[in-house]
Amino acid sequence: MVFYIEPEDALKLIEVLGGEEARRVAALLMENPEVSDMEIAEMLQMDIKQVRKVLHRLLELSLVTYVVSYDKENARRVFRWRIHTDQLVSSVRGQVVRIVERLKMIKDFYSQNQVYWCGKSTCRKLDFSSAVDHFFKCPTCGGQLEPFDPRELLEAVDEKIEQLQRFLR
Amino acid sequence: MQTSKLARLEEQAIRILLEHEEGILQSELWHMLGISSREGSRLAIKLEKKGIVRREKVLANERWTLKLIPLIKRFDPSPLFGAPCPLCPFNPNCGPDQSVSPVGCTLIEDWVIRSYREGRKEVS
Repeated sequence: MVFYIEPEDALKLIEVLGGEEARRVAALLMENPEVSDMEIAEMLQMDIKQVRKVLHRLLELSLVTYVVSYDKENARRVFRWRIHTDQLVSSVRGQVVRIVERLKMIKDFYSQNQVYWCGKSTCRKLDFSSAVDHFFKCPTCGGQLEPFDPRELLEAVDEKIEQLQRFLR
Repeated sequence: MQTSKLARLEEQAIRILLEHEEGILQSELWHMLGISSREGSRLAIKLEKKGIVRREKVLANERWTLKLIPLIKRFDPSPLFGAPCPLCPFNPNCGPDQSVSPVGCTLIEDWVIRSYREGRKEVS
């Protein structure tokens, strides 16, 4: 089965995989295939090192390819880049498998343990034995640990697992 | 035909094909795209080679013609938007039998809850 992805969705997905700068570089490559890293840096007013880092990340994800030519005048190699969004779906599948595995671990933990939490979004939740070890004080902020009701989180995790598993069918 | 024009036509043809899951007569597609049958045949061959369509001989209006059956599916990546994992420095080492456990990770929990609540808001 061949998948079609809307260009705007492709860019959003590239942002998930490589960050905001990867999205900017990808958008530029979609409009201007076969530009060099120097040209990208100039056009986007980005640091050349950052552009190369982003291109390397996109290369790791198999989303870009390059051709090398030799610039005799400046005695250096020039890499010209091209984006292949048709590789995006296969590239994202591996990530989805791993996220689903993680969500299943989270689901098991919350279904099998009594969990305690201080209520601050930046602090971790603890199982009963860890809460006892810390005398029911949050090890991060020192706040009082209270029992956490995981029902909404479990429903949310189930929904996300189902949505992500649709990718894999 | 210029490569960029062919690429643009291909993009438009794909959008039309996605709306005709059961297939579309190639003459209808050429009409929608505003191209000649010669340009159209070239485009259809390209689409078939890429595995985007299957060409099937059918009898329509007492004439044999080709129907283009799409083999392509729209990919909706929205459930993955906002996912923190691909950019997390622990991504390569997080999961079952790995050195980092996702249990208690506030980033992944926040993402899941936010997306769940947004979904509920849209429904109501």
